[in-house]
Amino acid sequence: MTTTGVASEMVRGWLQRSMPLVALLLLVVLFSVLSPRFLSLENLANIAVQSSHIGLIAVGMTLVIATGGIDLSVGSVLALSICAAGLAMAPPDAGGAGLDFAWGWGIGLLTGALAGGLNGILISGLGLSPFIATLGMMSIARGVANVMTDGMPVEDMPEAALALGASSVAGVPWSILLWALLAGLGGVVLGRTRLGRYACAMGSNEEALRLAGVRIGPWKTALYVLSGLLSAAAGLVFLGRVSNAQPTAGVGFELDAIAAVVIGGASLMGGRGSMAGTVVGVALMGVLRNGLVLMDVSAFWQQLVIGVVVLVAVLLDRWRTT
Amino acid sequence: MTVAAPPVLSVRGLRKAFGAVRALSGVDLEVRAGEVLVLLGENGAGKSTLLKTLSGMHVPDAGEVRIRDKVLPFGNPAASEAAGIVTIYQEFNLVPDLTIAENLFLGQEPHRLGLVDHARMRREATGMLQRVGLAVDPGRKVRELGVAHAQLVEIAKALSRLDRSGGGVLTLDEPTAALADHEIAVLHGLVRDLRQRGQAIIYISHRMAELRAIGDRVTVLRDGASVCSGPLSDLDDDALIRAMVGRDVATLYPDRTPSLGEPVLEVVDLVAPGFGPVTMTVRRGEIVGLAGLMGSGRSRLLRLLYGDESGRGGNVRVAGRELQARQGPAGAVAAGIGLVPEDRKNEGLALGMPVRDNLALASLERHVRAGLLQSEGLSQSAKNLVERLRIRCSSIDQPVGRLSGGNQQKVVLGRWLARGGAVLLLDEPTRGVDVGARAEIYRLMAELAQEGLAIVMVSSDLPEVLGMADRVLVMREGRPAGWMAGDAMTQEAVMRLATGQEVGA
Amino acid sequence: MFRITRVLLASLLFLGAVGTPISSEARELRIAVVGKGIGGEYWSAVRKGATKAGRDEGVKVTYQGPPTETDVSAQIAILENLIQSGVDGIAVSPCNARSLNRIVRRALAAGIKVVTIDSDTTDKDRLCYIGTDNAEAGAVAARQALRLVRPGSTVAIVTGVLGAQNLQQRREGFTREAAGRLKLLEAQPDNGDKARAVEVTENILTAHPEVALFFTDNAISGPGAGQALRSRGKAGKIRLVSMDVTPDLQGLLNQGVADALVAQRPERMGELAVRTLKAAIAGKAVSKVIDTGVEVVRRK
Repeated sequence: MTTTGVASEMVRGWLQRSMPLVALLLLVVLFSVLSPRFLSLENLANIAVQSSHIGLIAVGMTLVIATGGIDLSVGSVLALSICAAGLAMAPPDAGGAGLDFAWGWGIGLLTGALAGGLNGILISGLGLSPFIATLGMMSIARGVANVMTDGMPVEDMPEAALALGASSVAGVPWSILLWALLAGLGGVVLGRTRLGRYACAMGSNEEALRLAGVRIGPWKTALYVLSGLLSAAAGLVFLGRVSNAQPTAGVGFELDAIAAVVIGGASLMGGRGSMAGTVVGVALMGVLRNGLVLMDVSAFWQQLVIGVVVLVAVLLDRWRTT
Repeated sequence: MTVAAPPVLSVRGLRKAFGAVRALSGVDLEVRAGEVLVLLGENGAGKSTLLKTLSGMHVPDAGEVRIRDKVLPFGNPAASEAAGIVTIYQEFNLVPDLTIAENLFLGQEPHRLGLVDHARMRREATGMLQRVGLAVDPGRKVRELGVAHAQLVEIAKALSRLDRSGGGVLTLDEPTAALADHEIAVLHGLVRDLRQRGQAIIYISHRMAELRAIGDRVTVLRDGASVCSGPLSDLDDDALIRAMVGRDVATLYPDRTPSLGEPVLEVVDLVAPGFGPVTMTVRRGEIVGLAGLMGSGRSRLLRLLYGDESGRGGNVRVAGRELQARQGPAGAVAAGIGLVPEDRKNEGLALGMPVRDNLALASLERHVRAGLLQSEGLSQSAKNLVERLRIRCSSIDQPVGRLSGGNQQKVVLGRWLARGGAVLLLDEPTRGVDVGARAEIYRLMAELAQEGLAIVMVSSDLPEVLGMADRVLVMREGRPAGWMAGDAMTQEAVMRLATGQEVGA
Repeated sequence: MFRITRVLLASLLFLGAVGTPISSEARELRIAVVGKGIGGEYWSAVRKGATKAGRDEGVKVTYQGPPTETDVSAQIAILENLIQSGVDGIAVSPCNARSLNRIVRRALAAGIKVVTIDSDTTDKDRLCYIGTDNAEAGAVAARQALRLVRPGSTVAIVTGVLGAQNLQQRREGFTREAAGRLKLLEAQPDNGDKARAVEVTENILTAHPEVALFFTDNAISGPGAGQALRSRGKAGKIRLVSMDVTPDLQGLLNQGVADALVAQRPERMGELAVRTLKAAIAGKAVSKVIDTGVEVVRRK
């Protein structure tokens, strides 16, 4: 190949990888032109806060999708986690245990990790397909959350328990910091740890990985545990934003997270995915929702536009792979 | 054969470039009625571009193709099919969950009153299957058929398409790659039969012995150009290999003077349902070949050793330490065994991942510091392996799926070199690998044995087994049929043991 | 490559076409109506009423809503975005009464007029709540019951969740109106589960064969009770009065299982929301609560 050939190949490769980012920047430019209120620090922070819980879920989803799997239970696990946390923290007269908020958070995170672990065991231990296993967990976690709370929101959370969704540190909302931190860590896990590399290898060819002498089960289970844990973390942000623990929380979050991961360039067949891409995917959807409301576009049109964007992203994805 | 008959297919000066890459740079060939033309060439020599151009999927930059003296329009798959260019690829185009009959008539089902006429379809399908000597119920699903029968179905389908176009050229792309010996015999019989009836055939294969058995003339492709054409009888194997690789390949198999060390793989009474008992000892520096027919238990022995099949009995020791089957491949790898599986694409490689990651797949834990992978070390180790194994890739970041078969195989081998171990199990190490890369893999095997590795190799290619192994264990129906070594290792002796002709003697 | 760029450009242009830049119509008042959802009969009616009022009043009205009725965080995000966009008025139906307190205060602090529709926030910081007076709705249902059965008859009540405020108000209204004229059994909850509503009704029928009429205070208990009446062969013999009009309940009415339905008026909620907001923006005083009334649907 000639030098110009190599160069054009490199440019092409860069464009392919950066396509979601280019689309995001184009959208930002478009909204900035169309709405004078769009491009302000305040509004951009708004978008980040609004996207942070989906962003956190999408970090775990990226890892799971890299294996060629899927986690449909994230929204329900979020609800289960915050209900467990909420019941731990609510005062006794509101039906809770009245524990300190740190205990509540710990219990919430543990609940998420356990649900994820159960997913992992169903998938790698009992050989269920990830779609089926997490579909079951989606219903089970929601059911347990409803049973625990009798279907009613758990009220009267201690003020400290809401910090992740409601307060800031040095002017930066905690939710943004948490998202940035965990997305960064997720990127390191995906790219620079055995777990991440094995996740991609599972998605690319699980049999080859097994025959290379790697025990698939524990690694895969660990990935689903992480997904559950991140759903619970997203739940704590969510809890702060809505100020009570609702068993109905998180319905449909799995679809937003999956869409973000796919927009970010991951393949649902597995083997490919990038944390930076996922962050861009989440941001793209957040910018769309925000910008469309700023432009007085009504809800029906918003649904349509977001659907079109997801499809365009998938078409881009196909172009990338050919 | 009448000299005056015009060729069924003639290709003149075909050229095709993809960007800066010249895939075809002047291909000339012709095939006559009642003739088998063997097409030879290393992977990447341009065979598949040529086939795709003929079938209308690529438009060439220059050149001309004539079918029975009529110019073939390019880039028109329908016109190619109508002209009678029919190709059977390695990967079949059959739908596994449809019946044989439905597959045969896919896209042109006979209709009656707006409904598919199943009765007629079955009737005609039975006739079509008879032509290829296949006596199975056309109502069976293709999924239930073995590879050999599925291929016969493909050929039956191809023949009916040839009939519709009034005869043309049938191309078979490595048709025997996945067949057992007796199945190969059936296929060859069919090809000869078709030739007798005047069919023009292009036959692609890497196996020298096979080409001699089936071909009339040969055209060799190298770097996208036809470099040599002529009757097969005029060219010996060395000449063909020279034409293919463009240089002398002194000998395919390296000279070895094995220096055997202590026993490293000790197998005592290894049994499994329908298998065994096998007892064998392999020493450091030794290459043991496993021969036998397909399904004789050669590959299964490797899988059992590797812990890939649970429920084995007996004793397996590696370097003196007992290896339990329930530990699975992970246990075998930990004990120092490595496996290069038969099916590279499905079992060996993460095709979408870079060369580097594939090389490191079995040794990632070596590169972890403080929980993080050290990319420097990973890249360095990958570069060393690429250099040592002469893996041809644009960089270690290139997805391994883009590499040729031979280079892919070297990556799988390199994975075990990166890990280092005591025993290497090779299952069909050169299947789908072109001659040049094959020689390099043989050289590498010799080197590894020299360095003290114990190698157990399964191969359907008898010359390969005899050329590389110090000892050969022949398997038959799941049992060891006999050992041979030294001068006693001949193709005839192996075949006698493998087919059981000695039992009565 | 170029093909993809074109697709991208086209979708961006499309975005530009459906959205209207604010700057070109700076003088027009902008009001957003935020429902609990975006689909469904009920919210379509709210939207229709609001849009119509917007046309009449010369106000630009947009309808927003979370993808599901339980997605409080999405509803909060919508309100945040609306505050950012600088709308003049917001009418919101809270997905959760408590979760929206904070964001409603934020909107008010930003100088935006806020009213609640259909249901209210717990802190009641908004200018006005526009919706059904649930006690009055209960009383209307009781008056229908009195038309259907003789004075002194026994009436059973099937409710959704005992703790829900709006249902409680409906039962209280019913009880007050029926006091001394009908004999009321203790209200039995089905916890929002239709199958449970069937069971509860069957149990009541067994324990109190003298029951002459069922009152169900929501759109889930009603069909449940109706199904139980029909399977026990009591349809038309024992009367059924229910809150709400849904396709389910309308069907029961047509088949003669239900006798009267007390319907809320979502279209009127949307309409009054816009008119009230416009008045408030113009600096006029507005009342704290506006009852949109109910409508009684009977068999023709």
